[in-house]
Amino acid sequence: MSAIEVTDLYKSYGDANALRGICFSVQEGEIFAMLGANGAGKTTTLEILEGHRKRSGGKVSVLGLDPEHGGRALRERIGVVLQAAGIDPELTVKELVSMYGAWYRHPLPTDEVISAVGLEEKYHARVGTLSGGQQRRVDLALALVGDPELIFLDEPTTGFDPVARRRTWELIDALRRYGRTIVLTSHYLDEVQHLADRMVVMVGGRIVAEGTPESLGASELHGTLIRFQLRGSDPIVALPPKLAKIVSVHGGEYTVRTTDTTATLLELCRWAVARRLELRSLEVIKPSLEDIYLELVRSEPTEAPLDVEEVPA
Amino acid sequence: MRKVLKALRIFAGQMGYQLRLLLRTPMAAFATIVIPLMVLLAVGLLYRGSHIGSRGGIPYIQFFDPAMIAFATVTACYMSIVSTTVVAREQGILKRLRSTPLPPWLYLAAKVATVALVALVSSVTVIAVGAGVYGFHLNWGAVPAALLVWLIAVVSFSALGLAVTTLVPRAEAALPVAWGSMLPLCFVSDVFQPIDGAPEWLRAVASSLPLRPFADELESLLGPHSTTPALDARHMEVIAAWGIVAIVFALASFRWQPSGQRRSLIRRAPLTPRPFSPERLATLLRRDKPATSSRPARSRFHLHPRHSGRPGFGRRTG
Repeated sequence: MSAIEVTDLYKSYGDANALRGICFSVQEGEIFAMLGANGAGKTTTLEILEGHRKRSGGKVSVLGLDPEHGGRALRERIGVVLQAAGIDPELTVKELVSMYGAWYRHPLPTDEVISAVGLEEKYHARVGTLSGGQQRRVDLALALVGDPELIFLDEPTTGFDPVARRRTWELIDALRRYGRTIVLTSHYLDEVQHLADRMVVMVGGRIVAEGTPESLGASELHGTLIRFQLRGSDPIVALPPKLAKIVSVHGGEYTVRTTDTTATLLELCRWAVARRLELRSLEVIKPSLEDIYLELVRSEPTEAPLDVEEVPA
Repeated sequence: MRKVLKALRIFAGQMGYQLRLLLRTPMAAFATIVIPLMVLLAVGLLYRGSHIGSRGGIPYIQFFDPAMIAFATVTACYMSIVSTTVVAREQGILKRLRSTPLPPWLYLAAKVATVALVALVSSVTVIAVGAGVYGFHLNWGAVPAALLVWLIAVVSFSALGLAVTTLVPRAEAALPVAWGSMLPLCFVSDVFQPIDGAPEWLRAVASSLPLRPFADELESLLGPHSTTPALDARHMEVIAAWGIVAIVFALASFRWQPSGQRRSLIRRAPLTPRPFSPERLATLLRRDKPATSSRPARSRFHLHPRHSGRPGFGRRTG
């Protein structure tokens, strides 16, 4: 059974479209990641799933309920880390976590939740005295204390130091081991690569790619990159037409993108040998997730939708 | 039954939470409890020993102490609800609460109960200080009736506070709006001084607003200038009517989302931010360089003998 089903989800503000018909589903027990630039629609999607925003069209089901009408029954079963939600700075970590826990039917023990996010030493510290990364961990603790089945994490490690980031990854991994479903958004590709079972890439309110981080990386669509350098004086003219079409130049570096690696490489070498050119730093690379992501984000049409501000100042 | 118990437990927890917030922000406690006391002490000193002719020659404090109870109550309910709720909303605290199973009505009920408690403490302090310092005589027999009026006023002014939050767009605007709406109302409502000498129309307008009926009722009940103080049903109707209107308005328009996030949703911007352009930066940095790029690179600030002295601005001609 899937934890989340989204079909043809639309969201518009006035005549501007923030979401233009997105579809995806999240299976129970998986970590699902949404990747995209600011304004791509990640937060809007999450907030519709959490019940914070109304959709303009389409079908949404979260744990079998419609988030617009799920009410308390749904909120009892989900945990939410919002991107920009305040915490009362005057309360201590312990006070907050135990207060939030009291609202749920089966809360986890306060101390253990606080230890799990690594704030044991800040147990009695007021939230206002904590660093940004520590406050984010309080966020996480508040989302977990109700022992939710489904957890929404909107950029959960933004602002974390590397150690805290690793710990959070381990925590999220542990949540999956205990059968929790997790939906997260992120800017960090290594994070998605490390955590996600499946991911979508969003650009301008649409999903432009979907798959596992590996499948997206290995996709034939994106092929292989052949990179080499020529000396400044070497002529790049007279490339065989087939190669000329797929080569791009950046500085002194030439990149050929191909799905037909062997033949292209042979042709390139023939051309270079015939002209006595040295292909310096020649390498054949499988594109990284980051390369693919940047390419996806760049290649999308540049019509101007609205900018959904994700971090209000 | 268990549900009721759980709701009660959450309610108690929420009251504790609201009280803690208040006690840990000394400025808020100052505004709600100390300001009415200061006004009482200052104005009481000013009018010490004077009497009010228009009210049967009663000592000034018999008018002013009940008036300050009204002032303290409105400060605690209306003012503090407007300021704290708008700030909590704009900081995203309310939005976070809305993603938990905490029933919203419990949050609001606990908030109102907390300000009622603060208003009670503040009112009792005003009575005690008035009695101790200026010899105010409380009409004990009318206390139950006064308590009833006071309760209606607490609910009405809290509801008005919640309704007004929906009109305040930013956290910084909360206090100015709260004080700016409350102080003028106090001046025309028999709170800072009797308005018995004011024009008829002004008294009529003030009587249809919620504060004057409340203040008048407390003044006639607790520090009577007539011998047979009694509840005036019309006063209570006006106070309650304002409360009902405020509740309806608040139910229809109360927001849990910060306005900052709502506003930005209708701001249009290009799909991708204008890309950082290394080429433009390079052009910018190269302004002083000759057009030919075959020359070996050298420091931008190196003073070349052929250049005219000012680093970075010399241009080779020819």
